[in-house]
Amino acid sequence: MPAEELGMSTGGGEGGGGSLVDALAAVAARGSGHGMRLFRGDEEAERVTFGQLHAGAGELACGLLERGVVRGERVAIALPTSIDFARAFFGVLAAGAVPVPVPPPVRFASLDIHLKRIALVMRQSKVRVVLSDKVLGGLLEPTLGGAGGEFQILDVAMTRAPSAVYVDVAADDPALVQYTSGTSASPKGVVLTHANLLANVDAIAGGLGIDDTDVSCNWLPLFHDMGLIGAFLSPALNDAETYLLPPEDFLRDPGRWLRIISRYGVTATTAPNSGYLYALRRTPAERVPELDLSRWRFALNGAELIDPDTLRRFSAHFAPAGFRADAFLPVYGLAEGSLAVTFAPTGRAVRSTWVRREPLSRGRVETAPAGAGGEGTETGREIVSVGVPVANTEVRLVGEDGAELTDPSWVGEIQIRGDSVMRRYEDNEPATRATVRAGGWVSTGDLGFRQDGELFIAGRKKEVIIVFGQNYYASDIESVAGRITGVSNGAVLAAGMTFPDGEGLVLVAETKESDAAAREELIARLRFAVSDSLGLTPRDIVLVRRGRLPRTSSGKLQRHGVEEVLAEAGTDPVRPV
Amino acid sequence: MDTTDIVTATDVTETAVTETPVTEAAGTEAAGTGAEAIREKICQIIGDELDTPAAGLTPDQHFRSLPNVDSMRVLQIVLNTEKAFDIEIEDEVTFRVQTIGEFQGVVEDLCRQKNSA
Repeated sequence: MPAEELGMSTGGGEGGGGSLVDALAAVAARGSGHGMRLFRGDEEAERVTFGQLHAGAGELACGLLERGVVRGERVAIALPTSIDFARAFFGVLAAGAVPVPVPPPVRFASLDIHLKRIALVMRQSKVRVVLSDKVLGGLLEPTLGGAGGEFQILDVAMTRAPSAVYVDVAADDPALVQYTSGTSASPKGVVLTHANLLANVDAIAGGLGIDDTDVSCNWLPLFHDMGLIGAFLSPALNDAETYLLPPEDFLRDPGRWLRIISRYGVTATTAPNSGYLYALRRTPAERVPELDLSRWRFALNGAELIDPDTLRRFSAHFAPAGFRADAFLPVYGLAEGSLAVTFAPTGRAVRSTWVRREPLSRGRVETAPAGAGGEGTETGREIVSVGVPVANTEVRLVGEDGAELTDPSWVGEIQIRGDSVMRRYEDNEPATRATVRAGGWVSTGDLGFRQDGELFIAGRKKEVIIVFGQNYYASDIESVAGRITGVSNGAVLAAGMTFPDGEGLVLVAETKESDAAAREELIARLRFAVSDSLGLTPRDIVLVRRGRLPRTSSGKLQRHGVEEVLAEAGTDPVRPV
Repeated sequence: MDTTDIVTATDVTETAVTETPVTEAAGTEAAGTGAEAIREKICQIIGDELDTPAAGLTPDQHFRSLPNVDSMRVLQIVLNTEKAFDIEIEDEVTFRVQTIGEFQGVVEDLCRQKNSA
């Protein structure tokens, strides 16, 4: 059948002009020679121009269509940070299908549990085909693939066809399913359309003034919205050089990231606060003068609570390398809004405000004297401004009663609406109903307040713990820990706490065990269960007697009040509380 | 609930993340290649990285049951082991291994292959 009859073209880009592949085609047509480079360690391992990436996407699309993939079908991408990931992402889109990125397995943890988790989200999206590579595909194949297996695992390198095909899609067709929670029985996959993602890419580029002279370098994982949209789609669709470093290479030696920034004159990065802190801690002062960070224009900082002290220390530490403090750009965003929601204005020093801690815990914003958080007083907290909404995005604050707040002295839940904001979760009507409000407003679960028109994040209502930029749902953690023998009636609460190197998980579990050895064993079992299934090791596990955890009047566990229990428990988990 | 400003009294200090550059990390001295020496050296690397006594580590222990395990420290254990024995541990292996004993077995095999090459 001729391609035209199926709504296809062989050139790409001539269609409606409203898809991500059309946007890539437009970049390719500029012929700048810019593209994507993968670094392994300090060295460039592979590169591709945007023209080659576009051509490769069409070839992969042809291979997928030959294997029966149809328009709108969800195709999982199980690949590490690589040029293959970029090919797979645009290849699936060029086939008119919808990428569903899934995370790689956790090192030194149960592969079996990981496979069950990704199977859960793939089933939710009715995935049939998984694009992977030799190594990861080899791990998936025995359990999930094989003859008669539930999924067809394809090696992306072996799936390309000699000719290129591009299926036309509408701007309002889905372009990505981004899973934010995958361990509970009903995973939440944010469905984003081509129009959503392109609006966000435009908003990011517009907010920063990014163009084809910029060079970005990032190590954020691409299966997550901040890496996928911030580190990959935004620079690529603006024809900016896009350098990628696998997260494991950064974790092994964050100096690699800084050396690439120095050597190639990188202008833009995106990372969570903990990433900048890690790079700071692992770079001795005597190595700083070897770096040239003077061309670094934008160091976006988001996904986690932003610690103003980290920004000051980082700026001072790297000043001898030419790093400018005003390069730091505090940002706020989430998968439900594609990625970017608010940006601090560019080209100015980071702005912060001091508020009193105790009233803030009750939702009241009261100014505190600067520096009031010092030793012994603990009366004030410094909070960084994350600025104003990006283009075509609205932000409002809502009180407990659901009404929009007009009084700036109260903390409210942040709700968002706009061109980049999702309409629904994948095949999960209850989750959609709980999140998408009348008029298209989406609840973020984050709490904030406004000062002088700028947004400040005060905390989270949503029960999410963010460690190294990755979100973990308290309910997922509690469902794993609550099943452990020795925990009374499944009573466990998971909480995120601030540690010197970022947020960490603390578990509080009820038990009737009073014997010290039995309590030690229970702590080890809990640690293993959570770490093995989620890849996140609790920093602290506190055991309390039965009935000690806060509950609602109907007897349901509630997280509010867990901090008092922790304060009372102190540092000795073995001592019964 | 706002949990972000709660200061907890734990034993986590500024030293929780090592300030030492990777190039000077532990495990660079020549390690023995006998099976027993390999196992001991690996326990020492794990103990150093996780701030836990190496003497308490046993082959049947799962990495994920040990305190202080996170993705950075796991990678550091792999890196320091590679340096100590001058071997390369494939990524795939780190997704399959779960216990200290399994990891020791992998390293022993790689050392044998290296010595017979």
